[in-house]
Amino acid sequence: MRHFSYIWRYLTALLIVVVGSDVALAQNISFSAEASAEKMGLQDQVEVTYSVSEAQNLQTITPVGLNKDFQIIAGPMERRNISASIVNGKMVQSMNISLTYVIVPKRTGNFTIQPAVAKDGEGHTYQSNALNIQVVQGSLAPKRQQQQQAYDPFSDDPFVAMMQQRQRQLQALRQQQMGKQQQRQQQQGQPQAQQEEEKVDLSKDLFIRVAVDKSKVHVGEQITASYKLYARVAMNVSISKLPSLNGFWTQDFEMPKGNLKPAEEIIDGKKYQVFTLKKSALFPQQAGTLELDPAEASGIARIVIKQKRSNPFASLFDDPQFGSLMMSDPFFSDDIFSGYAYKDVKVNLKSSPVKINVTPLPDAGKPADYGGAVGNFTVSSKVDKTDITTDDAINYTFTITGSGNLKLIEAPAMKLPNGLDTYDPQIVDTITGRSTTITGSKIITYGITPQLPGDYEIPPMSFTYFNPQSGKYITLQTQPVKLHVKQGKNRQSTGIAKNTTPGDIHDIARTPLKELHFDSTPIIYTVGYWSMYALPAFAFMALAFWRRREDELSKDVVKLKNRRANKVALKRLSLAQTLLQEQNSKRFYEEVSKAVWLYLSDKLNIPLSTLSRESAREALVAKNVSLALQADAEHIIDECEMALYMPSGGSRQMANTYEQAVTIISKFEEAFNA
Amino acid sequence: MKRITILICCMLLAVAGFATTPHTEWWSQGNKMYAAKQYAEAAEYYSKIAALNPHDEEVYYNLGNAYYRLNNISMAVLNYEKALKIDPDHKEAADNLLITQSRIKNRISTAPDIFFVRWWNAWTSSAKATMWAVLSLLVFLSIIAVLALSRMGKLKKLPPSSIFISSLVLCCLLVLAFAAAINKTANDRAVVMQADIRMMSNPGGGGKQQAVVPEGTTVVLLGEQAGWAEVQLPDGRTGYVQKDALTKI
Repeated sequence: MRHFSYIWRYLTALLIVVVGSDVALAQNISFSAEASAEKMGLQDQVEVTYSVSEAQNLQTITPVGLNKDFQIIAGPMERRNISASIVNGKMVQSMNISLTYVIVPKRTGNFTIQPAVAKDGEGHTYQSNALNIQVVQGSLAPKRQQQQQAYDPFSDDPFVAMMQQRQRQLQALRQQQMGKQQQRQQQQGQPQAQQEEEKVDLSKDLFIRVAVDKSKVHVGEQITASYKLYARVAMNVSISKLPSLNGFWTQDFEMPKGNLKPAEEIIDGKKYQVFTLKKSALFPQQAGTLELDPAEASGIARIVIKQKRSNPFASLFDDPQFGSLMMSDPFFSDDIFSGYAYKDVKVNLKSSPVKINVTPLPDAGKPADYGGAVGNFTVSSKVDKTDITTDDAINYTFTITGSGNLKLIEAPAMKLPNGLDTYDPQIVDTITGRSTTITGSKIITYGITPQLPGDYEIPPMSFTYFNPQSGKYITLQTQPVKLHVKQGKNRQSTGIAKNTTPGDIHDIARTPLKELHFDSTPIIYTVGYWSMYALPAFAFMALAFWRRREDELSKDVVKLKNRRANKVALKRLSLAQTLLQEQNSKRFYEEVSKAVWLYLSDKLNIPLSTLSRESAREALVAKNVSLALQADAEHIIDECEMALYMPSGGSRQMANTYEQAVTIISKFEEAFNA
Repeated sequence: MKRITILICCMLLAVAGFATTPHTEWWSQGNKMYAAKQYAEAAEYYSKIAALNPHDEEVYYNLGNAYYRLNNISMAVLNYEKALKIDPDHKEAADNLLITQSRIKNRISTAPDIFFVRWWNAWTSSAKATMWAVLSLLVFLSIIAVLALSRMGKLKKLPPSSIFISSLVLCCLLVLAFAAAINKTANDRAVVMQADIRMMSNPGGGGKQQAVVPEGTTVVLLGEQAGWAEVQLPDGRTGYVQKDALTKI
């Protein structure tokens, strides 16, 4: 009873058909063409509907000349009404088929749409009527649209309308369900019905798949991932959770707008309608095994449960030509004659995760300034001005065009000669193509300001990308650009003025350059320098040696003097020596005494006659002769005088006296000469 | 008599010819071109003299100025550095070098030395090599003289400590003289002649990139191997750069 309202609606439709089938019973096929308006503006749309009633075995309906003056923007939409009635105890089925095209005019004027041709299985052809449409400038739409909406659920975009309608139905269904559940809860009812719903295994009939075109890629290489909904049942499902794409840069592909026309795919012998929900280009940003998390979707699926009643038209629905209609057309699916019951089941769909093996880019041939570009690119550069002043700024535009991970490319660093400054570049990414690969361009604009006048050359910019097809790095270079910078009016010595140093350099040295110097050997490495050490050192050594020798010599002089004094003494005592050898003791002592006295008389310049012990002592004191020596001298004189009067002693005593006399005279000699 | 006059004339001419060897001419031409703001021509003339490798700082100074005017920063730095190597007290060259270096983009600033390193560098600058050499010679001579006099007996005997102290002073002076002489002949600095070269942690381009060295940076050479030079940047960092990118001062 849930579908009561629908059944009611169809019953009404049936009634109309049955009433109208009085004509149909005559087996008359009527084929008519109808336009929603006979007069239209150039900007308006018009619907052309071809309807065939009482079509038993209709094969094709071919519109003729619809494309000549008009353009088909939608359609054909098929509608079928099938009716059955019991006539004379026999069940008769009849069927109305209509094809609707939405067309827009190409130009103004009066146009005739030629009759369409329909063919049935028996080879009969039928023709519809021709249509006249007048096309004027502008739009007559508002007036008509109101009319249309009043009776036609199909607005401008019939597909949207269909979807809307379906959603309305589902909403109503949900409300019903809710209401029922509440009822059940109130009645403390049995949850069996609900369980029954959940038991239904839809995994073969409705699922999501994530399809990737590659599962082994390089870092930065594009992977195309499609999220596809496979369905064999009527459903209203929307994506509840998109996979989180950690580690990827994603760019969605443009989906055909508004027209979710399903594709068909056969898996395990079953035909599925495939809706591509989303198609993205993924660019892995890191190496390793990355996983695309499952995508999730939830919604309601309508499953068909065969009732006991047999379906007299089963053969019709099994016709592959109409297969698609079973699922896409709710009206049709709701057909009460099918003998099917519907059940709305909540579904939660989850795709299985997809693993992608990302290999790092090869190191071989990877330039140091590689900016991470993967794909296929071309580069170009442009400068807006080349003849400028220091007041101006120029824009250097570097454009990378191609397909690949455009957004991930680092802007290459600009290497400018000194005197030119640049600031952070402006980067604009534009994605122009989203059909099968992500293509577009990255426009990097460097602002360049010259600091000082002069001729400059902007060196070539190089850009390297990795081509995953060839597996090689490719480096592109732009042309160098020559700049001529003149002095501007506003002199700004930026950069230099900030320093504490004066603004401009000192002038050149102008003193005439007479001679060039080449010898820069430090003085300390020269022989001359060290010879100046060596010479005084040798001189000092020579001096020291000479001094030592002199000392030696002076020591010899003392020896000589001694020898001389000794000589004098020996000479004075020479007679005493002979007397000593003759052992003439008396004369020996006389002679020694006489020699000493004579010596003193000579040296002290005192005549022997006046010389006495006293006078001698005085003179010796005056000559600074030591007292010990004086005493020694007196002692030897006393000894000699005593020996004259009492000659004792022997030859040993005489020899001793002689030695003493020699010593004393020598000592006197030294003392006097000193 | 006539022959002698001719001979003398010939000799005079020869002397005159010797006096105007090309470099004097190049020098005056260079100065003229510089004054006429024909900097490229001026640089050409100065370069001809510099190619003879003279030990005259003014040649390099003027060449540096010409390159500065031509916006050739690295060549200007190189020539100012050469002038300063010959004469570290060349005030104008030092100033101009500063101005030139201030125009290097992303310049690597110089890490300031500790005070005693500064003193040592100031004392052992190549300009002082002769001074230290002469001073140490004078000290040596005076020590010898005093010793000689004391030997001759003309001076009172000196305490041995005074001789020890003066020998120590002499040693210090000699060390300074040698250090300055080494600085004077050292060839361990170079200027980066290419724009933004990369300094790597290993020779041969391996290892990590340590720094990007801008053109015109003066670096200290620490060693060389197979086309790569180990350098020390002004801020003290060390690494390897390609030898081709450097020109020795």
